[in-house]
Amino acid sequence: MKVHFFLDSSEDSFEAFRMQCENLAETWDVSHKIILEIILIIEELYTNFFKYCSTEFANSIEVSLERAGPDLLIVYKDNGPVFNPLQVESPDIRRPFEERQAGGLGIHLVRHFVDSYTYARKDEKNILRFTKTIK
Amino acid sequence: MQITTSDSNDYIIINIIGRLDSGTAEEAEHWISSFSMQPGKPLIMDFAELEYISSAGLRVIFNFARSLKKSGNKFGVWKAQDHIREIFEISGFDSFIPMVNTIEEFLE
Repeated sequence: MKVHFFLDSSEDSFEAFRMQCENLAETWDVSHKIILEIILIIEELYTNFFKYCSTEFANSIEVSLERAGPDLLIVYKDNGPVFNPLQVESPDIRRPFEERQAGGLGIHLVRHFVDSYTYARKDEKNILRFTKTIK
Repeated sequence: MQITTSDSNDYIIINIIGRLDSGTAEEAEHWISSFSMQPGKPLIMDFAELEYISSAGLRVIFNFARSLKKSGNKFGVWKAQDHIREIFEISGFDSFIPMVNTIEEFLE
């Protein structure tokens, strides 16, 4: 079973995604925790994209979720300029509090909550594929 | 997202309820910046009803922790749900925001 979502920069857009995701817990018989992690992964990519992309053209994100046995396949696509967010360096979380910065944790969390990831550029889109074990 | 406070003689409890994410971070940041801390009074962030946190919410908590540290107020997080606690650990926040087990122990 595969589910598709289209997101734009409007406030309702992410909210609709969240609500549909929450409904998947029952359909797919997965824990609420897993669903929260999926929402987190997409929120981080979503906010990252709309924070940095130019407003000159219509920006959009496409997300698909597919249950494949013990795994969940997450495919994220955006139509922004060439950019692989997964290459962004994680902050050093062992640094003393006084030396730490407030931000930069989004992609760090994304990488933590998936089991594998790949990046590709195709048809003028950035495509991120993730697998996440759910059982 | 909703924030409530309860003030006792010895400490203040701040309840952060609901979701602390990109949609609510700005509101939370605004609330915190207008919050006037009483000198020397310990502060407990009660996360019992915090359902979800993302990096946008972590940023707010980080800035709050930094200002509490600066003002010399003792602080900690209480009753965090397991998945919130996990995000704190992954982010290294547990190294500078102590988890409170009991208020008595925290106040010692």
